[in-house]
Amino acid sequence: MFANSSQHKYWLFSGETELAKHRAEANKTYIEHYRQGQTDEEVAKFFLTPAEERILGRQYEVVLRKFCSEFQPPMPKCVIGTSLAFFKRFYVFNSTMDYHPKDIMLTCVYLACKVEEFYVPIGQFVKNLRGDREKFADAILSFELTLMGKLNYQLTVHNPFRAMEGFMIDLKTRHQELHNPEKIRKYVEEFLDRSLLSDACLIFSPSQIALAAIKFGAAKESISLDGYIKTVVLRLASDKEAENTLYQLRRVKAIVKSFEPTTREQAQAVQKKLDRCRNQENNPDSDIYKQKAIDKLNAEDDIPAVKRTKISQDNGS
Amino acid sequence: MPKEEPTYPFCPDETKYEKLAKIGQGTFGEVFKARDKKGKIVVAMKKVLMENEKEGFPITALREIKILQVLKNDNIVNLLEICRAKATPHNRYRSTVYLVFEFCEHDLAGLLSNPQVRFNLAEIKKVMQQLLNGLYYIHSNKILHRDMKAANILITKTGKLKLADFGLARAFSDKLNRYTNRVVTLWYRPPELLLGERNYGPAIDLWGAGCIMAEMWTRSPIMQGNTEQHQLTLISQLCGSITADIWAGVDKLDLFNKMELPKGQKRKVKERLHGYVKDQYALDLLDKLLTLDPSRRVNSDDALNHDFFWVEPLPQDLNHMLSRHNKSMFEYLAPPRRRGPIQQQQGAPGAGPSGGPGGQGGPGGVRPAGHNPDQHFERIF
Ligand SMILES: Nc1ncnc2c1ncn2[C@@H]1O[C@H](COP(=O)(O)OP(=O)(O)OP(=O)(O)O)[C@@H](O)[C@H]1O
Ligand SMILES: [Mg+2]
Repeated sequence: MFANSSQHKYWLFSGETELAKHRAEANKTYIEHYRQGQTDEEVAKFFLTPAEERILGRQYEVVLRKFCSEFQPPMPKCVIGTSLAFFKRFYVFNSTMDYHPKDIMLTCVYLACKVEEFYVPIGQFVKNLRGDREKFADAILSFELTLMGKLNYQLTVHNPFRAMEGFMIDLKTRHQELHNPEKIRKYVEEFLDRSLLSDACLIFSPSQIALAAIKFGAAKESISLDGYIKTVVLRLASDKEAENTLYQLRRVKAIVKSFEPTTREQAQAVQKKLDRCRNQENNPDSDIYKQKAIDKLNAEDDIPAVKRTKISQDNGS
Repeated sequence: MPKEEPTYPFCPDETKYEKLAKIGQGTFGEVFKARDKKGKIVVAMKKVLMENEKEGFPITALREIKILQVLKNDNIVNLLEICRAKATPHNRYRSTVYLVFEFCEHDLAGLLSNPQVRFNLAEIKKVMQQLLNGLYYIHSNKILHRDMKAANILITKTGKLKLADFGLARAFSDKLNRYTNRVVTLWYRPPELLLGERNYGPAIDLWGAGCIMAEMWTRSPIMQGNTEQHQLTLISQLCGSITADIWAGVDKLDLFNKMELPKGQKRKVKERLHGYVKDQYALDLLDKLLTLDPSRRVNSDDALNHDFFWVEPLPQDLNHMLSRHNKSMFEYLAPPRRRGPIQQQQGAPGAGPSGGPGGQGGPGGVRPAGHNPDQHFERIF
């Protein structure tokens, strides 16, 4: 299933280096489009740097996860995983200056609810937000198609939770030495939770992440699962493949561990800068955006006329 | 793993295609025949209706996209890409999304409504074999189609059959579930759905396959109920009374006591279809597909192993027969099939034209029985 999925084909990258390259490109593309003859110095002052964009992205990933964990009705883990995966995928090729993460974040969660069959009507969805709920609803709905398009309509996300449960069951039946696998569960889940805030899902397959969670979760209880991994999970693998898998598991761990939360001050400074350099056409509060909305409303008044021309076109073809 | 051109090889806009003709109109969207301006390949574009959507992109279209991206099989319609029409004054600043499919020349409803098109027994076998093969494939991928009917079965000009219209499809699990029972066009809706079952499974699609199989001979849908009650009456008249004796647990279903179920009806599937279907193997398979109790209804694997497909005449390709017809045949374009006024079946309470109240919108809305309101079918039973 996973092997021929779009996740495998289009949304796994070789590592942080490749991700950084794509993100830097998105940053550069945006700046080139809007700098209008500003000097490099002015650009640096006015626009976000790739590093600043990362601060913002990470900050919003934390906000997103918090929003999800407090969401009513309580949402299944896979909705959180899918929301975060959408968010991360979106900002591999798009700049936070072009689309503000606060809009995209909510849209990701709303779309993930639909995709994961955890359907929450928009009215109920925005009850989880404080402030002008109607405005939130409008923003979410207006960014939904953009988000879907930028995700190339590849909406199926394979999360590590199911693979993790699979390994837990397997441990029970095929690894008797571990008398009570449930005692490592807490650490395993902690690892997966942390992995959600890292780039792991853009680099590793869900089963690699799940296996890493099991291995390093067990290690916290001073239990080594290396024997299980070598003789059970990798029993059909060649030595080289086995070695590579173990290497990948260490990489998963390194990437999950390397996550450092951004400080409030850091994030605030970047946000301030963003308020000025963001794309106003995609800002629901901007005059340009509002004007577009008004044009749309006006155009809607002409529906009959438009329909008529459409009908005659249809007849013609 | 690194992709060279990661962003937009797949996210084209609609101007890439030129529309040639409208070939379908459903409850949830319009379908056009179109041509790729560059490659000159012919495609079918299904428009996702966004008007009246308070909840943004419709969840049914979302499922359709997700499901079709995974299903890749000779007997499943091939989704080529998704494309989007930009918001412009022309479309009232609404952007529209299209699902772009490989084009198929005909749909089965169109073919069956044309008396010039004749299927011999071997060709009917080929149709059914491909149809069951498609069902076998989707069911092994844990997908329910939930809208089996002749208009949703496409046939290419070389006679390859493709299951289409995954607009009501969804993933299923073997656990206890509560899906909506407001799915499947009324005339093809199995008894368990009509009785309010919400924990249903692949068997619902096999009932539809049975209805379609019979239609290969009758040329019109075999049970054209006007209401859910009427549909149950027609089913009982053909398949016998619905009782807990022949269907363990049916009395536990929500609507078992609310619907009027004809008593003392004998099962007459073979007898009544015998007027149309002479082949004993065909009758036997029909009998197994139109089994009331879903847990005893034949599954697609066993149906494919049925003698019907393995005794002479063996299934035969359709390309030869179809090569005699050079015009596309679709339900939407078919002339109304009028054979005198529709006769009201006795015992049909009311004559509402659609599949019951409250069927519009929402995830898994019920469709009216026939897509084209002008379409009239000859009554079979
Ligand atoms: N790939 C295709 N090639 C040729 N014709 C097609 C194709 N897809 C659909 N059609 C035609 O369009 C009709 C309607 O398409 P489809 O059944 O997918 O959607 P619908 O019934 O309008 O929509 P929905 O099921 O979402 O309400 C089909 O019955 C068929 O005649
Ligand atoms: Mg249809």
